[in-house]
Amino acid sequence: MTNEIIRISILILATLISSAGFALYFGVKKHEYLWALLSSVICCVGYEISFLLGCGMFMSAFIGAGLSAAYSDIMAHKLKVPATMMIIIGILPLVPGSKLYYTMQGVVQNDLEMFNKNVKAALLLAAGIAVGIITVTAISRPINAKLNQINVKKHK
Amino acid sequence: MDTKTGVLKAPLIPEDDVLYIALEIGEHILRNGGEISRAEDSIIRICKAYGAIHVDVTAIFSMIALTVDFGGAHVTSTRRITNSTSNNLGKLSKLNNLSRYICANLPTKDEFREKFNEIHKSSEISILRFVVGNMLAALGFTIFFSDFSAGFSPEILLGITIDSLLAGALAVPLAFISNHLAKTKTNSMISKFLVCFIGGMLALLVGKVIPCHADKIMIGNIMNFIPGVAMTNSFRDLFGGDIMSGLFRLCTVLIDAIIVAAGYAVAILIFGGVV
Repeated sequence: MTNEIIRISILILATLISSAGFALYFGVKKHEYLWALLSSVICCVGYEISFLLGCGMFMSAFIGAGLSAAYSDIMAHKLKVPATMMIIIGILPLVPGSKLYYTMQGVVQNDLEMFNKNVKAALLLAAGIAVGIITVTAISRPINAKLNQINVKKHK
Repeated sequence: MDTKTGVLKAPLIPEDDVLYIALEIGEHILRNGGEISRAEDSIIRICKAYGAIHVDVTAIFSMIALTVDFGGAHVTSTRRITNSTSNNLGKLSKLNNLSRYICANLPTKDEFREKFNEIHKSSEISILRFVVGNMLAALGFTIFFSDFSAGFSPEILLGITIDSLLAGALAVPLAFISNHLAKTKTNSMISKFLVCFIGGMLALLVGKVIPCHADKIMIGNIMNFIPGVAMTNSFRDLFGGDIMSGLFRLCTVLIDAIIVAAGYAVAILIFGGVV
């Protein structure tokens, strides 16, 4: 258990560093930085804890991306920024870069087992991210529309 | 139309200017990482703020078609969007705010251009910021994708630290090359392949000279080239009902991923297929 806590702590640190890099070159404004980085931490922690609890790759990615998307929608409303910005930074830890690399390596080294294992993992992760984001968007859009209506009535 | 009296009101500025402002906002929302629904929604709100009765807008990845009925005549305009996107999320946020400002204040075309140019200047991402961003991303992801199954002994942690610092260092020339190729308007697929190939070659060369894990270094750098923004927006477009744009973006994502992999694959093959 201690090992897992140390591993997740290192992953959180790595997520913060990498997301800070992306936030820098995507031009995220300074006062939105911390909120955007928190989105990626939530995604990472959501994925890791789900995986530890026995959820498969797809389900863990769904939970991680879903939590990040929900947080992004709420913060986007509060900060009055596009939710896209926070979701993009948020799901970065889940993007299957290493799986893509090992898939390619499987092809180059003619290792079918490596290729199959990593293609399957990459597809599961991508599908999990997609379904997580879509599910949260489906729930949040009518809620946001209602909140906008209430805001418009308030200002009238 | 005046909602109280029901009398048709002419827009405060010429109709062509309204379409220009709306299309300018819509185009730059799409260029800077916004979804189709956001671009279309902004265009509709702007046109209606200026007095449009009915707005028909269709946006896809490469074009926006807009027809507006101001009560007197229908006015139509289209905007072709070339393939150069910048994914500047900070600029996207400012465009969102500018869109709100336009709906509230109804500026003239010249006033709009002034505000738009201010956003354009203040949102430019300097080369230093781009390079440091790439460096941090590569460094962070190398640590993220490291193998912790063997525990956390000092040797393992030292190895991971060396790998991540080397990945960060290699990201610097790759960022400069990538930036230069983008400025010279080189075909995006060719430039992506070239940068990934050079990245692979450099990582493998470093792996021969310094004791490190070349594969982890390559994975750290590969994350800078994976089309994460396009992937996210393709899902959101598909769900939002923009099937054509969503599928278009998804195809672009798949092709980009294959090109990135191919760049590294060729580098590995040159080194005998062994990492």
